Amino acid sequence: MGADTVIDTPTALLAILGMAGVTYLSRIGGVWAMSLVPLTPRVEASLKALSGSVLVALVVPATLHGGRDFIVAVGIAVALMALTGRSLVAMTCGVAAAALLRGMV
Amino acid sequence: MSDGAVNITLPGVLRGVRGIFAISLYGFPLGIAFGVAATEAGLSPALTTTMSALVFAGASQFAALEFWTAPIVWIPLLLVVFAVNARHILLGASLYPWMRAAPLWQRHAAAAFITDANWAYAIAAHRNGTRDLGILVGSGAMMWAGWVSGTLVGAAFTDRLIDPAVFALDTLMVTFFATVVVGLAKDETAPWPWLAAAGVALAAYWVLPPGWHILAGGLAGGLVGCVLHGR
Repeated sequence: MGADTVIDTPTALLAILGMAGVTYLSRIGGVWAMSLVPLTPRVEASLKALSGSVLVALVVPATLHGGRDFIVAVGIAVALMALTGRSLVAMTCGVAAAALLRGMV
Repeated sequence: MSDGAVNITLPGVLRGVRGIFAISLYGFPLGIAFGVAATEAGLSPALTTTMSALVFAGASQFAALEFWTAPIVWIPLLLVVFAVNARHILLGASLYPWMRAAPLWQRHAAAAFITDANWAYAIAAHRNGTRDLGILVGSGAMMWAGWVSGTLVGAAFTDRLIDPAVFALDTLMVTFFATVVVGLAKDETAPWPWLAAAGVALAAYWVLPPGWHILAGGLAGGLVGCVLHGR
């Protein structure tokens, strides 16, 4: 990643357009794919399970591998969200707790 | 889940903007970090900002910098971008029961605004009865604004770096996702899809390239949900 690896501007723009195209394909791809499949109750149940599962797959490794601060932030937010149902309050308290912990230790 | 027509309306867009506002603020320091990293990799501020504006997918843009060499290695560059973004396929699929009632052009427009954060926000709103796709578009536009403006600042003023670790802001995104999970939990009938997702994602985190564990875990949970349906 040295600053000496300069790519000329037209090529760089082309690369950026290529990246944007590939990324848009990833965004529309799932919508397209599902439009080819009949939306039976079973498919709908699978998609519902899928959305929660993607989030769980995001949260669990990121929290456990993030270390103490992440475990504290997420733990407090989950507990407060379950108790109060107010996500902004839960998030703020979780992140604030992690910030305090980081400041103290 | 698909009664009546679905549209993108202005009130819906504005609701999305307001609803995601606090979370979109995090995109700003993250954008700064990307702007700095991209400048160091040899991109001009204008190209860096163009990339954030058009690609609008942070993790894949950071990954692409590793392949930003002259001459450009096209296949690895585009493959890594696709690989890091492959989880979007699952996000889009999960939005389909909602999007299918919208006109085709609105589906294609709304899909451009899918990111992890505003997808999670929109899915939660949909479960609570929202049908207006504007929620997804407005919240996505807000995420875009934070990301692109942060990139511009980071690329133009490289020396004034804001570290996301200050105030533990780096924990904000995952904390937000966790609260959405708790919100969704109330209408889940069985814990098995989520347990499968957690287990597979943790295992895949060790063995697969970065980012793929989300795809693996999400697919595992979806499959378990499919198998369990009606039992």
